[in-house]
Amino acid sequence: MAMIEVRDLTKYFGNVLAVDHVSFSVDKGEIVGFLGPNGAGKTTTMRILTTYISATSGWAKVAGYDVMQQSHEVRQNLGYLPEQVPLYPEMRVEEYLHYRARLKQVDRRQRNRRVEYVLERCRIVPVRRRLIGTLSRGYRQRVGLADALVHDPPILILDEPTSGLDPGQQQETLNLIRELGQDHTVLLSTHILPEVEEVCQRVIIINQGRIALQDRLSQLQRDSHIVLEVKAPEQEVQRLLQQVEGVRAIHTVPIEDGADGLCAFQIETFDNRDLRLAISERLLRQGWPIRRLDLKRRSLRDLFIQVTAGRASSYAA
Amino acid sequence: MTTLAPDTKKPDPRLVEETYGPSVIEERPPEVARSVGVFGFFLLGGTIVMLAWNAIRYALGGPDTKLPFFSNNWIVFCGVTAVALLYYHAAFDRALEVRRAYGILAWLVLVAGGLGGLFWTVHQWWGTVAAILTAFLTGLISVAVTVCPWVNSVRNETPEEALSQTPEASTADTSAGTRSAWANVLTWPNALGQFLGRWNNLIGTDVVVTRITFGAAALVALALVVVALLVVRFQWPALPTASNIALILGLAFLMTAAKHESNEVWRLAASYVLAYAGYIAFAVLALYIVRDLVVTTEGGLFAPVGLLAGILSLLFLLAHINLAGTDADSSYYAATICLVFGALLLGLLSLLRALLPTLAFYLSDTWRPSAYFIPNGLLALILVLVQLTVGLVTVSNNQLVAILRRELLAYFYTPAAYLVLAGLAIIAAIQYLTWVGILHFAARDISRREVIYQEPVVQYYFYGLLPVFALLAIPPFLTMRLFSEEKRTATLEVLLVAPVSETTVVLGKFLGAWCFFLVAWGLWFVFPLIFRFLMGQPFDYRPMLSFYVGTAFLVMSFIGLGVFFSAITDNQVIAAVLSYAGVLALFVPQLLYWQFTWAGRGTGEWLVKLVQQLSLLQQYESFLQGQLYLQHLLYHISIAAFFLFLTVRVLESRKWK
Repeated sequence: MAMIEVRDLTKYFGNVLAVDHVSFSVDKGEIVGFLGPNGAGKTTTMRILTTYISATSGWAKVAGYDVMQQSHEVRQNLGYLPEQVPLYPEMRVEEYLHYRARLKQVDRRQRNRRVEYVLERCRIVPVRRRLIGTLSRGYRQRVGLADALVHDPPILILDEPTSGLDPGQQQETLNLIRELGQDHTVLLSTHILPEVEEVCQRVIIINQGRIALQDRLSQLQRDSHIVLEVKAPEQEVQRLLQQVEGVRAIHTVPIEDGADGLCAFQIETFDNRDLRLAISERLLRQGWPIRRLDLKRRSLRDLFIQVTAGRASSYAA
Repeated sequence: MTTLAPDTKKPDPRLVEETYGPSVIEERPPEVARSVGVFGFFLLGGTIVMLAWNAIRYALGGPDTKLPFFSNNWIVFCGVTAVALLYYHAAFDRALEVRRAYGILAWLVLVAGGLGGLFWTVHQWWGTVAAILTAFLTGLISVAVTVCPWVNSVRNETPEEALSQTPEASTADTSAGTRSAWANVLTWPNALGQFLGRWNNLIGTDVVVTRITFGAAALVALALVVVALLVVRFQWPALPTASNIALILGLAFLMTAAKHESNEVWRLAASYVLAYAGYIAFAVLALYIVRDLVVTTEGGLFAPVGLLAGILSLLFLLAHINLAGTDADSSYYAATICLVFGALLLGLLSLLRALLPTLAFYLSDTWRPSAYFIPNGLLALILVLVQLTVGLVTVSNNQLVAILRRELLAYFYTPAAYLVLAGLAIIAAIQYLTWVGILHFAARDISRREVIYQEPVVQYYFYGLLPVFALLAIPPFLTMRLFSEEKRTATLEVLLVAPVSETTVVLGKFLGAWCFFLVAWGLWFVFPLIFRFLMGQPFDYRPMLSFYVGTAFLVMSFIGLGVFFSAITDNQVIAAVLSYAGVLALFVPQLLYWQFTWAGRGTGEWLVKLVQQLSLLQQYESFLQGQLYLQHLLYHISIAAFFLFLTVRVLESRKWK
C-alpha cells in the first residue's frame, strides 16, 4: 500500500517553476531518500506533502488522504522535521514536547508515556529540564525529531535531518532513522550521499524540479567495473585481458607512481560479471606481480553527479 | 547500535546550573536589572524611613503632635514603585546569590503575611510592622552579602588559601591604601560579606555557602522580628490589607525565584509551600461560605475576608500548578481537584444560601433568613466561577487552551511582561497620588460649598493622560511578537503542520494576549484597596467593576488589530508601528467629536451622535459612570472579530499564494 503517493505535482512561485510534474510513491515501511542539489525542489515538495503550502497542480495523498482536501487527517498521520528545526527557545524540552503532544491531540492517558518514550528514543532524557535555547545543534535536532514522533505517526518526513551535525551525531541520527524505519514509513531528504547509501532502500533524485531518477538502491549500484594494477608491459597485459571471456572493454588509466613499469586498467564486463578470479589466474600464470585487483561498484555519488550534471550547463547558459 | 558520546561536553554544572539558573537562554549582562534593583532598593529604604519616622513621631507626641510627618500617599507611591523595580530585578538578575536572596525574602514576606493574617483576628498591628521589618532587614542583609565582592572572591579559593590569607592583605588589594575606622564602618556590608564568605569557604561548596549565608540572614531577620514584636504593642486597622499585600508580593517573588531555581529540592519546597498556602486559603474561603450558610440571621460575612481568601487561594494554587507543571508530574491534580470540585461544591452552597430567603418564604411561616445574594452571594458565585474556569483551563486538553497557555507563559520569559506590569503599577501609583490630592481638596472645597465634584469619585483615579495612554500603548506592545516572531524563527511552519486549524491558532494567541492584559489591568485595583482598608476610607467601588469590564472589551479591538498586523510581517517593530497606527485610526472618531463639539456649529445632529458613539474616550467615560452599553461592547467585539477573520485568511494565504 502506498503511504505517500504523488502525481504530477507542480508548484510555481510566481513565475518560478519550483516543482515540475513530480510523481512518485512510497510504500509502507520503506525508507526513501529524496536527493537533489540545493534548490532542486526537495523542501517545496515536502512542504506540499505536509500541507503547509499547496501545489499549483497535480495531487498528493499521504496515508490515503488528499493533502489539499483532507489536510487535517494528513497532518494527524504525519511527523515532520523541518530543515532548520525551528523551536521555541524559551520553553523547556519536556514542556515543549508536552505542549506539542497536546496540540497533536495525543490521548491524555497516553501522553506521559508517549513523551517519556520519545525522550528516551531520541536520547534527550539528560536535557529534559533544559531550556531549548541553551541546547546545542545536535540536541535541538533530536528534540525536533522527538516532536515529529510524539503522536506516533505512521509517516515521517524528515528534511535534511543530519545537516549541521558533526560526524558522530550524523551517525547517531542515521541509526535512529534506520530503527524508526521498522515501524514508520520514512521520506528523508538530504544531499549527503553516503547517508543515503547507509539507510535508504530506495532513492529519488530530483533536479531542477523534475525527477531525474528513481530506483531501488541495489538496482542503481549494480553497475561495476574491475580495477587492476599490475607490474607488466602494458600491451601484453591488454592482449591477455582481451582473451578473458566476458570482458567488454578495457581502459588504461594513468597511474601516479607508474615509474617502475606499473600499469593500471579499468575493465568493464558483460552483465557486470565478477571476473577477478579469472583475471588473476591468467596474470599469475605469466608471473606478473599484482598490486591491486578490485571490483568497484558505481557509487551513488558518481550517479548523482551524472544525473544532476545538466545543472552546471544550464547555469552557464 | 553504536552509542556515541553526547554531543556536548558536559558543562561545568556550577556555571550553568547553579550560578545562572536553568531559565537563562543567553547570559544577559545583569547591569541594567541591577541598577534598576539598586534604585528600587533605595526607594524601599526611603519608604521604610518614612514609615519609621511616622511611627516614631506618633510614639513621641501622640495623635495630636505638631511634628511634621510624611503623607501616606508618598509612602505608598515610593513603596509600590520600589516593589515594581525590585520585581524587575528579581526576574532578570539570574545570578545565584541574587535570586536566592529574593527567594528567601519572598519566604519571609510570605511568612510575615501569614502571621499578619493570623494576628488580624486579634487586631494587633505589630503583625504588619513585623512583616515589613522582616522584609526590609532580610533584604538589606541579603543584598549586602550579595553585592559585596568578598563572597565571590573568597569562594573560589581552597580553604587553606582562604585561611592563610589575612583580611588586611586583601582589603589592601581592593582599596589600595589605608582606611580609617569610619570608612570601615561605612563598608559594613563588605565586612559582613568578608566574614560570611570566609566562614562558608571553610564549610564547603558554593551552594552550601549561599544557603548558610542566607540562613544566617534569615535568623538575624527573625530575631529582629521578635524584637519588633516585643517592642511594639499598638493596634492598627491596616493589618488585613498589609498582610494580604504581603502574601501576594511574597507569592510573586517566590514564584520568580522558584522558576529560576536550579536545585530540585528548593524548587519542590517552594512549590509545595505555595500549594499548602493555597489550600489553607481555600479552607478559609470554605469556612466563610459554610458559616454564612449556617448563620442565616445576618447578611453574611463573605465579602471582604472570604473573597480575599478565595482570590489568594486561586493565585497560590495557580502558582503551584505552574511550578509543578501539568505534564509529567501528577502533583498538580490535587490543586486542580481542589479548584474544580471544591469550587463547584462551594458554588452550590452559596447558591443555596442565596436561594434560602425564597425557599423559606414557601416552606416556612416563621423562618426568615436574611437576604444574601447582593452582594455576598453574587461575589461568591463569580469567584467560584473564576476558580472553576481556571481549574478547568489548567487541565484542559483542548488545542485552543494549549496555545493560550503557551502564549500566556511566553510573556513571562521576556522582559515584556515585567515592563508592562511595572509600568502599570507606577502609572497607577501616580494616578493614585493625584486622586488622593483631588479628594483632599474636594473635602476642603465641599466644606466651603465651592466646587461640585461628580459622584463616581473613582473617575478622578482612572481618567487622565497616563491611564488612557497605557490603555492605548499596551495592547500593540503585547501583540507585536505573536505571529511576527514565529514567522521570523520559522516556528510558524511547525505550528501549522501540527493538526490544528488556523482559527484555533489565531484565537489562542488572541486570547493569550487578552488574558495577559486583563491580569495586568487588574493592577488598578490595588490602590483603591489600600485606600479602602489601609486608610479606612469607604467609597463607591462599583464603577470600577464596570470600568474593568468595559476596558476589557475595549482592548479586544486593539488586540485583534495587533494580531492581524503581527501576522502580515515578520518584523516586530513594523508590526508594532502598524498596530499603533491602527489604534490611532480607531481614535479618529474621538478627534472628530472634539472638532464638532468645540466648533459648536450645526454639523448635522446624527453625525455628531454617530461620532460620539464611536469615540473611545466617550466610551471610556461611560464605563467609568457605570454604564456598559451593548453597542459599545459590540463595536469592539466586531472589530476584533473582523481582524481575527482577516488574520486567519492571511495565515491561509500561504496556500494560495
